[in-house]
Amino acid sequence: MECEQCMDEISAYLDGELSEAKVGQIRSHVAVCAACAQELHGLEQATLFVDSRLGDLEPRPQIWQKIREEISILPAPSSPSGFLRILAANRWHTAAVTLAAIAALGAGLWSYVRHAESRHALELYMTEYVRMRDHQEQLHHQPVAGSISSDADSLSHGKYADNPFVEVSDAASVNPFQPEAR
Amino acid sequence: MRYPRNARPLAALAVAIALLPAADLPARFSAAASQAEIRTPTLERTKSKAETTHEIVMLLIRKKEFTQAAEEANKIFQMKWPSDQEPVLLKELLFFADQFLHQDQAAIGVQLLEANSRSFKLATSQVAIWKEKGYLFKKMGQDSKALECFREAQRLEK
Repeated sequence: MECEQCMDEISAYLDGELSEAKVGQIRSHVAVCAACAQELHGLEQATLFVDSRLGDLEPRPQIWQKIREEISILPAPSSPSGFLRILAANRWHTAAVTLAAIAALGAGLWSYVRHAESRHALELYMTEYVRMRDHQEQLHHQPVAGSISSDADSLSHGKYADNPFVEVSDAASVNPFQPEAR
Repeated sequence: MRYPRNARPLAALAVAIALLPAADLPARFSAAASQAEIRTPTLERTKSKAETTHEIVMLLIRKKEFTQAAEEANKIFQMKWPSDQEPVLLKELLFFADQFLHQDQAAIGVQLLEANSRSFKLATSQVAIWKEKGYLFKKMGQDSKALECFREAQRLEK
């Protein structure tokens, strides 16, 4: 056993907390190591001193008396103030406040759920329209077979076809506001 | 046609009653005709102007002169239109907004919708405008503004 380990376990040895094997190891080490033997001796002496004086450490009756007097001088803890005092005074108040709190909580929860529902409905409403418009845009951008696309095609499907002030009765090239056909 | 003698006055009375509403028909007809004469040429002129302006707007968009195109488009909605033309005007407004979107100019489309939405009185028109505005915001990646527009549309639709 090394000195360092012995020093660590001396207290446990004195308190009788070590196993038989450990006790044997410490005893063997102390028998050959003067420094550890001295440490063990010192600790034994200290323990004996404390044990012999334990009776004197009992507090005297005067001290107890003084403690009681000082406690009586200290101010008593204040009673609950304001709102808490009202609650403490009347159990009906407590019940009413509890009910009000539950009602407020319920209203808040209901409002939250309703808000979430309406938001979900709104998102559905938006998604539906966006999907429909995206579909329209896809159709608009699809190239017509055999046609050559150009900037002009991307703007208008045909002459006057998108002009709502021209009533298109024949494909996209008739303006009924002008009597002679274009 | 022969009637029994005692039935003749009755027949005469019936004919008189039948002809009574037609008594002022010529007067009524002429009033309606003159009203139509006033209305039709004015509307025709407005439509003709709008038709031309529409083509100008399309040309300006084609030339990528978007701000000027929007200004020209505004002129169509500032013309004096009878209320029954609102569906046609709505179609025109949504069409232009769509054209600006195709040219990656959704912001100008939104401006156009905002500038002219007051010209539309019908709730259905307002709903369509709010929805399209929301769509343009969505395409610009401004989801919260898009959601606000759709909220307004939904509120008007209820």
